[in-house]
Amino acid sequence: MTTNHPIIRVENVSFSYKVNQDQQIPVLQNVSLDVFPGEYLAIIGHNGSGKSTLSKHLNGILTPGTGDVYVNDINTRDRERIYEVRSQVGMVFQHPDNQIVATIVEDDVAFGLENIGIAAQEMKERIDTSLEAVGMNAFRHRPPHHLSGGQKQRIAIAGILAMRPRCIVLDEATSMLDSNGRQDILAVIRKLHKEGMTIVTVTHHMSEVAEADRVVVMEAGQIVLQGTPREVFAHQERLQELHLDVPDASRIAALVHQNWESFSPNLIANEEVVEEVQRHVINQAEASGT
Amino acid sequence: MTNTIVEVTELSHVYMQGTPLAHQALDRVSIQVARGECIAIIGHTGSGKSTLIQHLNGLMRPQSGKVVVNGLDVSDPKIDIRLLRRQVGLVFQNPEDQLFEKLVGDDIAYGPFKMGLPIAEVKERVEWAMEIVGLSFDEMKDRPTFALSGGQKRKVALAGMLALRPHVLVLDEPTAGLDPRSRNELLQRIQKLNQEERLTVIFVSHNMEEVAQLAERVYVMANGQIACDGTPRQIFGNSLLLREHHIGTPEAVDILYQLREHGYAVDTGAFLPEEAAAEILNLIKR
Repeated sequence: MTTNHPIIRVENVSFSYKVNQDQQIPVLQNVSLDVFPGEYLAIIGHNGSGKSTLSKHLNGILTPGTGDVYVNDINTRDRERIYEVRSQVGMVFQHPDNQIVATIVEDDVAFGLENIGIAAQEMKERIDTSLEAVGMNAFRHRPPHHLSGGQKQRIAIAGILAMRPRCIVLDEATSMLDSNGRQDILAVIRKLHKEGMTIVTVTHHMSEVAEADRVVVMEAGQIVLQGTPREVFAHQERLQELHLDVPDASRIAALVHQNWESFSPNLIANEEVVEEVQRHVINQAEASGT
Repeated sequence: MTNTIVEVTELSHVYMQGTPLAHQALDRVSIQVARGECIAIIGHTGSGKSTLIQHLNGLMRPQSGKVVVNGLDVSDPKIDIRLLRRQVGLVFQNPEDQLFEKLVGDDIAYGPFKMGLPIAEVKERVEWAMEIVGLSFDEMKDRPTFALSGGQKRKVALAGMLALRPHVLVLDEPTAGLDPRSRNELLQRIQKLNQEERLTVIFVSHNMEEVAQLAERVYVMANGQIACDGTPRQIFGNSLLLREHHIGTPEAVDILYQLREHGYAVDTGAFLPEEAAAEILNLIKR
């Protein structure tokens, strides 16, 4: 297997919610997507565009109406191997409270391991490293309901890490958090990605999208645009048609560019705007003064 | 004489009072909101924001202190609580959990229907409320609620509250989980309701872009107390305050603070992207 062999293959997947006997609401229409090892992929799209439904196909929570999803070459329709699929691809959901099951943090992290019958000594090691990875070791004996939303989400991520997955899917995992909680989760994600974890994130925060390697844009159950964040954010008008947006950094850069042509319009991060300003001010000083 | 619609005076609340787990969630909180104002309440997780707003429609009663909304005293045990709740619409943080009818239209109609309004007016209100939140009446009224996306459920829950036509709208994180267009549209519509119908709006938010865009005045909460209040410009222009209370900044302000740290003279109170761009132009045009 080469390193370029996808971890997840989504092949011609369509999916509908059945309302009643003769009415169906199509949510995904013939979607194909490969997720590669070590990749940081962002999926964006307006409410109801199908992005959450797509993400729920990535570890077999939903199975396709037509088409197939393979995780490590296992078809997610193969219910006998569903635990293998789920231990490879873990999911973090939007609401912190809905994914905590135990009354003590370390028991919560252990929950998945107990289900697959991991030996006590190895379980302890895995809990240690997972809690360490999300910076929550100090909280291991605390009851989770006293934690903040961001801390709960980190516990949820630790529970997934303990399963030693190859890929983590985050379905709007930061949308209920305050800015500190969000920054904490983003820092954890960045670190995991750096260590080689494959990340798929579904989000409405365009500044989060700017950190990804690749962006997939969904509309009416189809992929309508994809590329690097810089490529995608260059389509400001198209994104607005799709009910999306660009990061404020991009919007500010474009506004400055309208009045000052040499200022690059193609920036996606706050730091890039600051650097571009510095570059200009220094150029001006050189041109006018010395 | 009074133009005040919400008056909270020296409100305190202790959770699990008298036990070793006692936690002072509110500590002598006083706020005053004028009719037609649009107020944001911000602060770190656990600072007391949600506890405060639950007092506004009588979901919680004051342990000590006073809460008066539109002349109704929430600490009065004989208060007409149904009247209060019609006047103060409170939309929770996860309003999608509040949906219970099978169809979108039925869910939104539930409140007005229970108020005993004639069916024609119920329908009119449902149409109006769906229009406000940006849901097409014809297309969505017969949709089953289970097949909605998270953001759509949020809109349905908000429409259900608006259909009661409250005087004061209290929102906990109104746009969390909405896509950028829905977020902007909803903010614009709330703003319109606020400005044209003088609906008083009080909202809790972690999204500082949203606070910058919508609020006329901001209360900052910390450790169960009001740390300060001011216009968004005053609050976001004060980096010490923001740091002390762990408040995030709008992205535009973050860029300006970074520039200031590099020694550039910029107005860090310029919180809208257009204003930030103008500040940057000033720097490079020199």
